[in-house]
Amino acid sequence: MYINNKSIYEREREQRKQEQLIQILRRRFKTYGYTKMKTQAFEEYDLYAKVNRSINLKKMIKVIDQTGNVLVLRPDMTLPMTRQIAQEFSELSHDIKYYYIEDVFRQSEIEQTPLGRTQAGVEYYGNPSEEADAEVIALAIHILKDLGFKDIKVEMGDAGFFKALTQNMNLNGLQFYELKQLIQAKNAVDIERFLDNISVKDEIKQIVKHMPFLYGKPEYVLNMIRELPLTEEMTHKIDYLYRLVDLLNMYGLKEHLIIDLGLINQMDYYSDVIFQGFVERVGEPVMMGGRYNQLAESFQADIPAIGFACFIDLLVAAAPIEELEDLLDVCVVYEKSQLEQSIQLANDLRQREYRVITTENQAQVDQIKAIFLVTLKEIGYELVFKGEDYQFKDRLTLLDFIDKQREGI
Amino acid sequence: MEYMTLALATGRIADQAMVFLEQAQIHFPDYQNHSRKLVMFDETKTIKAIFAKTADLTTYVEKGAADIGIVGKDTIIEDQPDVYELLDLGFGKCQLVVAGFPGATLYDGKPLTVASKYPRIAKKFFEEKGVQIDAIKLNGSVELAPLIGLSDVIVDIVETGTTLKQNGLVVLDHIADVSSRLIVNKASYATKTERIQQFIRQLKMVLE
Repeated sequence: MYINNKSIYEREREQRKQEQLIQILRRRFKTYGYTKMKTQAFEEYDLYAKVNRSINLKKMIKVIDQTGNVLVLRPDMTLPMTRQIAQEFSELSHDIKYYYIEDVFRQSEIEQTPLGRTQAGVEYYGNPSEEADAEVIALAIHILKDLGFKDIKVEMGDAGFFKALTQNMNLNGLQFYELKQLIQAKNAVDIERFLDNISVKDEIKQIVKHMPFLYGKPEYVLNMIRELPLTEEMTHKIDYLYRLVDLLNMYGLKEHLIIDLGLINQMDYYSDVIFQGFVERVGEPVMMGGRYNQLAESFQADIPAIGFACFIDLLVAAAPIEELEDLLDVCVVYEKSQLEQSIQLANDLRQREYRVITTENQAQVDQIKAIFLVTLKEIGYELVFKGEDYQFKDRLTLLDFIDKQREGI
Repeated sequence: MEYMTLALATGRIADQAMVFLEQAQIHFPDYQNHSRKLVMFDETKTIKAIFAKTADLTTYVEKGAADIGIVGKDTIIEDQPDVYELLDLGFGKCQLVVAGFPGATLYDGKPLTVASKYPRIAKKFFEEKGVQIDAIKLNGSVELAPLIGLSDVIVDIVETGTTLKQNGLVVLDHIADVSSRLIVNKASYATKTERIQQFIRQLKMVLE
């Protein structure tokens, strides 16, 4: 089970790319004023069993501590982050912006998938404004642009729209679940069949029937929406969504937006705008988020919030960022009697931020790819650089030479 | 323009799908020449068709290896893939049913052994009726199971009922109507919206 079958070199390359990618993300998060936050890896089982039931409990990894309490390895970040804030404040008089890069753990039905997956995301607490929403979505798109994706699409919907639609339909549990699935699948044919078998006001039926088609460029969808007999609450939601579109237009990002009123997130704590990001060559969302204004109430706090998470594994696999060559700078070859000399030289080089490997083993030298190859001689040093041989009598002239060549590279 | 990948289930459904696509003015010359290629392009080189086993088809589309797929509703109900299901193409019509010997009792609360290509559908259907079942997954000739005492009843698709009749079995209950559906990967729909919507309009013209 759970064994990664990739070769060690493949994983090394993947790791290098992941580090590069995370650096890009971290820098971008900071430019929008976010600071780093952590949470502990273990959470109380009850947090997920009682406070939020959106994640299937069966999918969580459970652990029992010494006293018999059941813990889970955190299956998401939003809930622990929110709890952490809510423990400290019952209300916020100022904004708090945190980013995180952490592993979350869920067991999938497919055995081979790893239990832990890295997520990088932000949570923006205390600001309920549409400007905050737009800024967070802009950041999400900005990141995908930083990573070099050409085809970036962000679908925007509203978690409250489906709720508003169904609240007067008097559906039983099964029917509610069925309609939710049909709308998520944009299955117009079966939605019609579903509606034939229930008694609901014609106005509502008309909206439900249109749900699969309320998808596309903002103007295109708006024209269709205008024809529909929306309730006041729905109109309010739509107006809000289109104010966000206008704001994102100010960021110059409108071309990336898709309105999807049939968008329903499986996490049921979302209260208003929800969104998910897609890029070329990835068959699933690479990023998801939304506003969750009521979640903190579970912890007796009143803190509006919005956030999103990027799925790092998917981005690492697909991001067209250029792989940096990962060569060592200097390889120092010595004999046992020259150990002290080699340590001094390595020290000096490391002090100057070079990446250094020292080896006594002549046979290993061929395996190591380094820009400079230094061999300690009885007197002085021999250096191989770009296929040329150089001799140096003392350490300082050698270091100066390396410095000078390095500048040129 | 970037091409679109269309996954088709090998066998009868692929033949019917090709007839349908022909009517929508989408032509695959290789297919008409009875090629056995697993990958082929249409005349305009904008659609790449791939042929996969029915059991793998929803996986191809869900994971984005194909942008769109044509597959029976039975497979969709069984696999529950996270995809869009945008059209009922109307062909490949049949019924998903419970079948067994005439007079077999289904819902008297006794647990049943059910053989099926669709163990999940069987479980869910009987669960809703309050009957516990032991589902046996078979990959073909499901009718055999009750005949040799492997199961009490079967859950399977039935088109004309001839196979059932010849083996002395009858339809005991109806689960769902089945027809071929067009499914679409959610990411593809976002990144290739216009191309896919245009394709759907083309197919819809045949349906109207």
